[in-house]
Amino acid sequence: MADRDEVQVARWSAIRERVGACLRELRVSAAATSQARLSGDLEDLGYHVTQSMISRYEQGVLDAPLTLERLVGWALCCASLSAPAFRELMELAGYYVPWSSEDLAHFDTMLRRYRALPLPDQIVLRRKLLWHVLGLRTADAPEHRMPLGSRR
Amino acid sequence: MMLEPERAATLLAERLRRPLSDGVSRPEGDGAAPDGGQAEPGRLGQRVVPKSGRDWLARRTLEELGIHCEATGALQDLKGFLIASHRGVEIVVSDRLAPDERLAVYAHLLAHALIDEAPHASRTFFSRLEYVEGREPVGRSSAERRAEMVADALAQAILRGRLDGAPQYAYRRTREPARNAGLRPALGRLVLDICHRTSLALFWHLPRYQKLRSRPEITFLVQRLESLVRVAYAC
Repeated sequence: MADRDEVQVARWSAIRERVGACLRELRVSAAATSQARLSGDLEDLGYHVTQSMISRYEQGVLDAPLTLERLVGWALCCASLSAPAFRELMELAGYYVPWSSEDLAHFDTMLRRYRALPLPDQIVLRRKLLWHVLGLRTADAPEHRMPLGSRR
Repeated sequence: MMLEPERAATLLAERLRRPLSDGVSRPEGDGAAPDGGQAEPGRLGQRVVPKSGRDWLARRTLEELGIHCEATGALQDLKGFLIASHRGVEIVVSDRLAPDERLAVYAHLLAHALIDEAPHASRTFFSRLEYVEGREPVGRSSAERRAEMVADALAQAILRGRLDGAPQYAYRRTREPARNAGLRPALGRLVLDICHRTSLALFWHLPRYQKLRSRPEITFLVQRLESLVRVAYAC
């Protein structure tokens, strides 16, 4: 049997151009982010996505689908969570965004506000925000935890 | 779990006011402060929380309320921040802060959550950044500066353990249900409502009033007046 998730491959083939268009829209809408910067920001967030991969994802030519975290991380780094393209992207990915438009706009306002912060502050905030958008807990380094209290 | 700033601020102020006793167990040892120091004796012979233990107590209280507290060495321009959503509530502070500074950050974040609380249900996300002095964004609006001033006053009230040193409407959003029906009690409630609203408006605009309102004798006077109105109007 071929080691190939055929349904996923077929689905990705069907939507990748539309996903690429949404990703591009996220990057160039609001405050346009360069591919180089986005690549660096995603790297800081913990996702290895090179500049050429960004370009190919936007063109819809890459065979491997982007994970949910990377899709949201992309929107987060572009401060475009409130863009209609983000909702469309999440729908294409089959993920329901449990946030109102107002919440997403508030996310973006916060993201833009902290653009002025030094990079280390931005990274800490972005990692936390990613968890709040997706509901996934990032694995914190043990030395960064407070010694007390129950974890959620 | 969403943030309940009213509950958190009230409980934190209460814990900071009272000596360490019921409901809060020390992390280790008997009579020893969390950092190894000794508990200071209170006026009535009770052990009171030493200054250095207040930070631990605050964190413990917040954790009890489901607010995840974390320290990180990565923050540079921020003392800390609070993010609250239906995913949970978390406060991240810089581990370079002294215990007193951390405590002040907790109180200040809660104070902002109190005054910035969304009045409508559609918004389920709240965030607040606390900047290191001198690193704040430039060009803040007068409304932001005023909110900062009010948050300072509320944070001080929390740290003093006397939230009642601020107008009731500044920290209590939920109104008490009417105890008695009728015209007279309704009139009494109206009088109290006007007084509380006036006090809140003065608190927002006059730093002098903030200082005056925080004095224990004024708090006592306000409470007596409220009791008198309640008795007179049976409300």
